[in-house]
Amino acid sequence: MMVKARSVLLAAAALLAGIGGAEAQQKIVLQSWGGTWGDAMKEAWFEPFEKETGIQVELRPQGSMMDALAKLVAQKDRMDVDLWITGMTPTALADEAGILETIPRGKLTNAEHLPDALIGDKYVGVWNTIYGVAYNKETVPFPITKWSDLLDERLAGQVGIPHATGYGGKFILLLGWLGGGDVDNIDPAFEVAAQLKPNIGIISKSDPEAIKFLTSGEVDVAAMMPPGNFVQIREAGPQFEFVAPEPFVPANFNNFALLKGPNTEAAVKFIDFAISKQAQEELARRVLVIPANTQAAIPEELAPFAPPPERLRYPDEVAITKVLPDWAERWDRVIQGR
Amino acid sequence: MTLDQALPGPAGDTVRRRPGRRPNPVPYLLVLPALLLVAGLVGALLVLSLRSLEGAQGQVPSLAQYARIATSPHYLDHFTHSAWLAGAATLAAAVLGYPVAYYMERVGRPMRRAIMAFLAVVFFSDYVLRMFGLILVLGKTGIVNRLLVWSGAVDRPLSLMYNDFGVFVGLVSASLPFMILAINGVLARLDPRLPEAAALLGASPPRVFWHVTLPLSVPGIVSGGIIVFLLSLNSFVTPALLGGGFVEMVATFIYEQAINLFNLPLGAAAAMILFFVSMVLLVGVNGLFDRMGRRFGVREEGR
Repeated sequence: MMVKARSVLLAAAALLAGIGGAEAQQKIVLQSWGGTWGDAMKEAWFEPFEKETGIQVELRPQGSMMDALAKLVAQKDRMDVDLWITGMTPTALADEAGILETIPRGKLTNAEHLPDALIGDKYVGVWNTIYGVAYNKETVPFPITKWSDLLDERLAGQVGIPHATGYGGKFILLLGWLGGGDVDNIDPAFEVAAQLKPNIGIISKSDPEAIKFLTSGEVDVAAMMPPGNFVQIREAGPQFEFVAPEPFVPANFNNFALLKGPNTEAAVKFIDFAISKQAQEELARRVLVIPANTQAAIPEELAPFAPPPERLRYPDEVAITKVLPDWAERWDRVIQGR
Repeated sequence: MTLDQALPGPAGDTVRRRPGRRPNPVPYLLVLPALLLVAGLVGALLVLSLRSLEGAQGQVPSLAQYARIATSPHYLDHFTHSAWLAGAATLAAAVLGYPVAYYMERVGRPMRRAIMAFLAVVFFSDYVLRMFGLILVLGKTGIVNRLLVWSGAVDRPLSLMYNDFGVFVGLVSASLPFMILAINGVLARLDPRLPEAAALLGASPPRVFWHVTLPLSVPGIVSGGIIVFLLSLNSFVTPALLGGGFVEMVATFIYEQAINLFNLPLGAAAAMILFFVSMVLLVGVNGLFDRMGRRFGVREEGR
């Protein structure tokens, strides 16, 4: 009996020692996209960062940014995520919900290489992305060169678009721009949407869905597609083409947001690492994004798709946040109108 | 009276605790996890109901969210359209499910077991995978469309998915096993002497079915119907996967508001309305079922 009790105690001690050993290595939890993006981050960021600092990075995959926001707010009082890659709209909402820490700019040695617009108290830009059109050139009867081509009657039922709140409502804004409107005057967006409606074959709720619908032949055109997704699409065959249509290309940046998690100090170190020139270039060439760090080179592969800067249009995402519920309701009325 | 006092004895009598004997904690401990689970679920519902009482500026209590839904034809349309789809799916499940349930009672035990095994497989297979299976069958590049185009029946693939029809098919296929089992449960308990007596009195087989078997199986149709209707009305996965973004049902509307638009109060109000409608329906149909039970002699048997 005595021997048995001693064995149990020894086993418990060994277990505790094991747990203690595991805790010795610092770890941060980063919430971001998985799949192609997650793989790229692992190779370009997590592994070299761990080698350099000894800090492990665990990826907590997310679906949509708003879905991630809802989950983070729900776990506000027991936050186990340190860092979040998201957009400006969810960042603003997360800040209102009180789950963000202020990012200590003084501790970011690479911050000086970011444009002023890409850094603030609660966000640090991580990459810029553009949105274009991916299509099947074997089934689409003409080369798509401009956004208005999506209204061509030959594309009836062939166009896939994001849902109303997808990409923070940027597709609605794009249609507004095409109709001569803007955030403050969004009526033209719904007029263009009504024209586009006969051509809409499907409305995707997420990036993987949009990729699947195009590559499975459910639709022949996917509007509002970041080149990063095209990396995956082109693996399905050479028939797929990406174009950044005329006259302008919606663009935005994704950003780090520092959460009130358990390892904020290590998380800040990671932000600094991820915005360094080399880390930015390594990631950019894997997922075809424009680095946020101005010293980092734009990936060669992106060059054919990347429009000149004067064609890029950045929406005011924080302004959209306030009007998006109304936009979404109007959008549903036009698109789902029964 | 404590729980161990109320435990029935071997003869079904209540066991009386002897004075001075310590109560047995085991039954309490065994019941505790279930109680905690129920408390958690009720607690979540309470939190949801409280959030639904927040006004646009966060003021409480307010019925603003409910008023918003009640006065918006667009929001109300989500409820009516969901009810329409759920109703159509219930009717289709009853029409398709009844013959199967009836057939199960007419065939030998091996075939009955085979059908039951098939239903069990459908029951326990992953819901999302079943919906993806439908996409593979009915999608634009699915088997049905390939066959139709290949046979020359149509020039271009038909839109069988990502619209109301696709969601309707998804709802029916997901809920059909519930309907079959509910109807079969009643048919299996029918006194076989009743149709036999009708036949002996000269009724033809269709007349026996129409005047004896079918009326007596109405409780099964009603209970199956209520299960299918409520499952369909509350369905999220089916419209999310098969609606293609064009078909919004109440559950997808709640998700859109609570998650994508971060408007939890409006989503909570819609959820509470859905809950309330479901409860009213359940209680109402239960009352109806009781009356029917009296008529068909089920009540006495069940009590």
